[in-house]
Amino acid sequence: MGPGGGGGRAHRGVDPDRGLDLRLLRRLTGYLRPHWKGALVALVMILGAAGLETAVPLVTRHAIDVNVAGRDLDGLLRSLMLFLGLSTGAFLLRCGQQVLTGWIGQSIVLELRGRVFERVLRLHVGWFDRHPVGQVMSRVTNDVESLNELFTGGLILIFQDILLLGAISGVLLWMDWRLALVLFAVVPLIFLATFQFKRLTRAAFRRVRALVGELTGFLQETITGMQVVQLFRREAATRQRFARMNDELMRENVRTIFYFAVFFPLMELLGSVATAAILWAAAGRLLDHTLSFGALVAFLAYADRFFRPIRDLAEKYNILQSAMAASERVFELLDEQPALPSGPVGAQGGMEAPPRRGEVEFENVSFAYEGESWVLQDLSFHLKAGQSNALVGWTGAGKSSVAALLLRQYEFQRGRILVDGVDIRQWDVQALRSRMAIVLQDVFLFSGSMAQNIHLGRSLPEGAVEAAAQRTGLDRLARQREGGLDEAVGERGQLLSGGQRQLVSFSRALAGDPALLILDEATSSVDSLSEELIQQAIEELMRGRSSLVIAHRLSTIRKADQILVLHQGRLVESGRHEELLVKRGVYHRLWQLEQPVGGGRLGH
Amino acid sequence: MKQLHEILRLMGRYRSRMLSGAFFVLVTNSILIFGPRILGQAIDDLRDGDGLVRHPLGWYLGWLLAISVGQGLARFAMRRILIGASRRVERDLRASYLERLLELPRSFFAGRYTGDIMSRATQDIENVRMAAGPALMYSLDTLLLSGYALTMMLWIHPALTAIVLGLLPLISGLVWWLSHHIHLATMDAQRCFGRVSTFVQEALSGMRVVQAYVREEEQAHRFRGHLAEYRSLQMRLVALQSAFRPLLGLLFALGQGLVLWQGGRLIVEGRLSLGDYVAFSTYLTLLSWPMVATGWSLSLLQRGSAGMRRLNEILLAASDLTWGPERAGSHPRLVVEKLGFTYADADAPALQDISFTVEPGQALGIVGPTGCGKSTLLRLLSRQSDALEGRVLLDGKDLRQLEADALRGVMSLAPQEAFLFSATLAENVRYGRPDAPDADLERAAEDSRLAQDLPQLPQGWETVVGERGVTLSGGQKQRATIARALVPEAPILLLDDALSAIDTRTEEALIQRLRQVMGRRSVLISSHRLSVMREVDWIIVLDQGRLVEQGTHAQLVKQGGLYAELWRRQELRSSLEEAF
Ligand SMILES: Nc1ncnc2c1ncn2[C@@H]1O[C@H](COP(=O)(O)OP(=O)(O)OP(=O)(O)O)[C@@H](O)[C@H]1O
Ligand SMILES: Nc1ncnc2c1ncn2[C@@H]1O[C@H](COP(=O)(O)OP(=O)(O)OP(=O)(O)O)[C@@H](O)[C@H]1O
Ligand SMILES: [Mg+2]
Ligand SMILES: [Mg+2]
Repeated sequence: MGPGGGGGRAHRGVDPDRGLDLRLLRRLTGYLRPHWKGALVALVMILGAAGLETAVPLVTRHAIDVNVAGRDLDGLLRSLMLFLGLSTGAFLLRCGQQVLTGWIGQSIVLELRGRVFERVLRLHVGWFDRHPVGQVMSRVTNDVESLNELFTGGLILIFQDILLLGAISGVLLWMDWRLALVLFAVVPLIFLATFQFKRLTRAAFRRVRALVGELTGFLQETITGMQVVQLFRREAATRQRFARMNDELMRENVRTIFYFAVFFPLMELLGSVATAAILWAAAGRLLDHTLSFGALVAFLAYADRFFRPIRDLAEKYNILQSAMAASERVFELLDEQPALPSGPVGAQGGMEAPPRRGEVEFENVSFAYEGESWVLQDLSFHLKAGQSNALVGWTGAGKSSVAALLLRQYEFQRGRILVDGVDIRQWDVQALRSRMAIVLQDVFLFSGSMAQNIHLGRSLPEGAVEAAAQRTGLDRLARQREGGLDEAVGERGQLLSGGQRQLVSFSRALAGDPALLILDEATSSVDSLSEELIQQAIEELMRGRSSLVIAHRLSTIRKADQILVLHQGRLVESGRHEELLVKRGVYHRLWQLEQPVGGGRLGH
Repeated sequence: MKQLHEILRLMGRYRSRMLSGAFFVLVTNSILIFGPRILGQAIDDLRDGDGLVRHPLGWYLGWLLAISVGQGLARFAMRRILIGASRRVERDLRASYLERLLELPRSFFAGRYTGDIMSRATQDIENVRMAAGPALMYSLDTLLLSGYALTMMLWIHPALTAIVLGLLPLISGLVWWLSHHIHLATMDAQRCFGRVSTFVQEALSGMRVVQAYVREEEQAHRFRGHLAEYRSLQMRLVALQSAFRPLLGLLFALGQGLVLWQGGRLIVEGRLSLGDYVAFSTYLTLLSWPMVATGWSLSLLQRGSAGMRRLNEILLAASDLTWGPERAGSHPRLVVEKLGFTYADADAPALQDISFTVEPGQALGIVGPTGCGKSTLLRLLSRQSDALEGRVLLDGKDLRQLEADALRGVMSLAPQEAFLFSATLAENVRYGRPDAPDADLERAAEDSRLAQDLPQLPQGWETVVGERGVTLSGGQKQRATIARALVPEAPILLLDDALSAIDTRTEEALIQRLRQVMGRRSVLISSHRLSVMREVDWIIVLDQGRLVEQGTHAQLVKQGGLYAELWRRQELRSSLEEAF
């Protein structure tokens, strides 16, 4: 229990067993397409380098067989120059190719990461209820990073290895086909060992990855909730729970070492077996002089090079496989459909939006976050343009949910919502939202300064930030500080007091030019003096605009043109303050509770 | 390289393991080194034509395979032992990292980013592990292998070896230079990646704001800016790395060329056998691995020590909170004397010269305008930070003299910011006392008025509340934190702005309940809702960190100061009502 308790709950299992999924691979290589010229050049360079590298032992062979055997020192020098020339050429080509593939890989990763992020930005809020930040983060950062490896170290180099393998096999066959066949006999063993290894490590890796995910999720939540952990003396329990995961991860990791420790020596052993077999096969032919020593030496050198690409390919397969698992997770995000499709009204190139009036109409709206637990039922009301409205009701009545629907953060099941006369489903989401400004009940501040938090990078007229800060009284508080509004607020605004955070968030809403202002408990943590000042200050600002104020303190909404009383998701009363009091219903009861009953309860 | 020393110290616990691992490195290389020698002899024997003079062919082949098997076994042991040890070091490091974090006070976290603390736990610990495991293993391996290979080469032909030795300083120098710059570039790239992650994390956590204010495009634009910077830093790294391996290859080819030329001359002059030449160049090939590995290990070691440095910033961070041995009584008297506090980097003190007393079972109200220091005061009382001036006494004992458990057992705080873990509601409310019986849970729910909402929640107590409690309404979240503070039954209850998200009916009921609680426990409650202040025994009024007024509600209202002013605003609007 405790932190991280739900960390893994929403985790969607991705099967790393998929191996080489061609559909995925095709999609991945699609990202290579814009860079095809560069990729082609890199491929040519690789071919060149591989060719040169393959030629080098031939020069060595020539030097030994012809120059040394013929006691031709000048020839030896010439061979040597050739040798160095080839090596330098290979060096230059390799450098160039690696820089080029590096650039391509980095560019693809940039593109992919950018797209994933843009997609995530357009997912609806309900999606984020189910996907913890840490998990989405790890897709945008880690998973995309492992695709980088695929593009820089994988895809292009696989071509090289395959080509190299072909070239070397060709040379070996050409030099001595009988010895070559002896060598090739080992290859099936290598593949067998590799696949067996893959099978075993894959399962182990999957467990490791799951454990790492769990551990990081737990750590993340512990750090964000550190205050609570310490306040409730849960250090020991937290430590123990962490230690359990930590130990298990360690054990699992040690287990994977075992496979590696077996695999690599085994590969070397197979190499030695091949060398021994070649020697054995060569012995007789050396004796009857059908094979030269130079040829044998060169052959052994090639044999060594023959194993390298095979080993590399095995490793690449590994990269490819983890890249597949990662790309699956990344594509899953990219394919995530925004559950709330955007309509054409107000969209660029779409239908023209109606004039900004700030009019809202709810028609028999019913809404549940999940299943049949209705949060709003059959809700109908009308916010007239330019009117001030208030939404009141007991906690959990569904007030914030109304605001969420208006902002089109969730899809509702029944009924219709009209904003400025247009069905909310027909609206372009962004155009719709830019008509409104909301102070969310849960204040969120970005790290950065107060001014940045108010401004949010919008195109606001000069002085809008200062004016907004002045209306909420934030500037008075900020002036007590050296940096004023430019003072940093820390992560989530934790360097500010609760009320100050709320004032920043309030100023943010006022700085724009909304047709409809939604205040969800916008002054709940602010003292009554400031609250009154704010009310006076915004009264003038709100003239001609609509507002929807959600508040528990009825005194703050008394003057509203219309008060809606929500009870368990239903509208039970509506009207002006005086009308509602006369009705002696829910509102009246709420109101009475708020009234001071003289000194009767004092002196307790 | 002080940090490397430290890494070694961490490995000290596994000394015997490390020693046996080192032994296997020795064994591996001792066996390995005979391979080329035998191959060379076999070739010479074959070349001498007339039959196998010294040994039959099978003898050579047998040895070749035996060497391979022996070496493989030793290498297996080496890997298991050394890398295994590094995994243990990793685990120890991670455990002590968390342990340290758990001890650090709030002030430590206030100026930091979660992403940064996380990246140390993931990236940096991994870097240290790589230094403690693979890097150390390969360094040892390399050292032995090159020592052996050079010995064998010297044995075969000293003059030829001299050529190779002449090249070595050049190669090592180059490797060092390159790996140093690779290290610097890596650090830059990693820092930038940290910024990228922090950016993503913030954008995701603030998604509701981003979307409500249609900031998607601007966010995406800024993100692309970060990404472009990251790419250019990565490219610097790529350029260096691209040069690294091929350059080594080139230098190595240079060595081979020189050996070929000199060796060729020696063979022509009859001063070197072909078999010896083959063995020699095979040893030379063996050396190519140490050259690559040296550069690699060096950069791993550098990265490891950089990681260690970053970890030490936390592992060695001073916690100014120290605890004593004392315990407090079950109904302690709370005395605050001349308390003063200033936040780091703040120009003005957040609290100054605050004194008051709370008798057991009394209720104290804390009132004051936004930012006056109410939360700061409650933080000092619950000892998330220490007062810089003055002291807090519980039953006459200074807070700093108390045991951690004792203090936290006495004080129970519901913080202003309602934070819940992504667990079930029951788990969250039980957080302070996991073994609390259901009856206590129910009572806490009744007292905090959370009970009235339970039927509304899809799975009642078992509802998973989502990250930070996002799937609860504001008032539900707040009451869940109050319930959580009630469950441990601590004699002093601290409620910070605990009524802000609660409607008047629930507030009324909550206060009724709290009144019963108040009889049994001391309650300190800060609130902007002055209605609750009529219920408390004593009120202190803060303004800009100073205690400006105190008294009962009636006294303060009569006094006509700040409190009366605040009260009048609330009452004014209410009593205006009487007119209707
Ligand atoms: N994201 C969500 N997922 C699932 N259920 C939710 C979610 N948000 C709110 N709820 C549930 O919907 C109901 C209404 O919540 P809402 O936040 O609309 O209440 P509210 O009227 O704003 O209350 P408060 O005054 O406490 O803020 C509550 O029972 C709550 O638990
Ligand atoms: N971690 C911090 N670092 C620096 N300054 C801080 C920090 N936390 C709070 N402050 C500042 O100290 C002052 C007192 O803050 P505190 O949170 O105690 O106020 P408060 O009385 O609880 O206000 P509110 O009613 O808004 O919750 C404020 O000016 C605030 O900006
Ligand atoms: Mg709400
Ligand atoms: Mg506060």
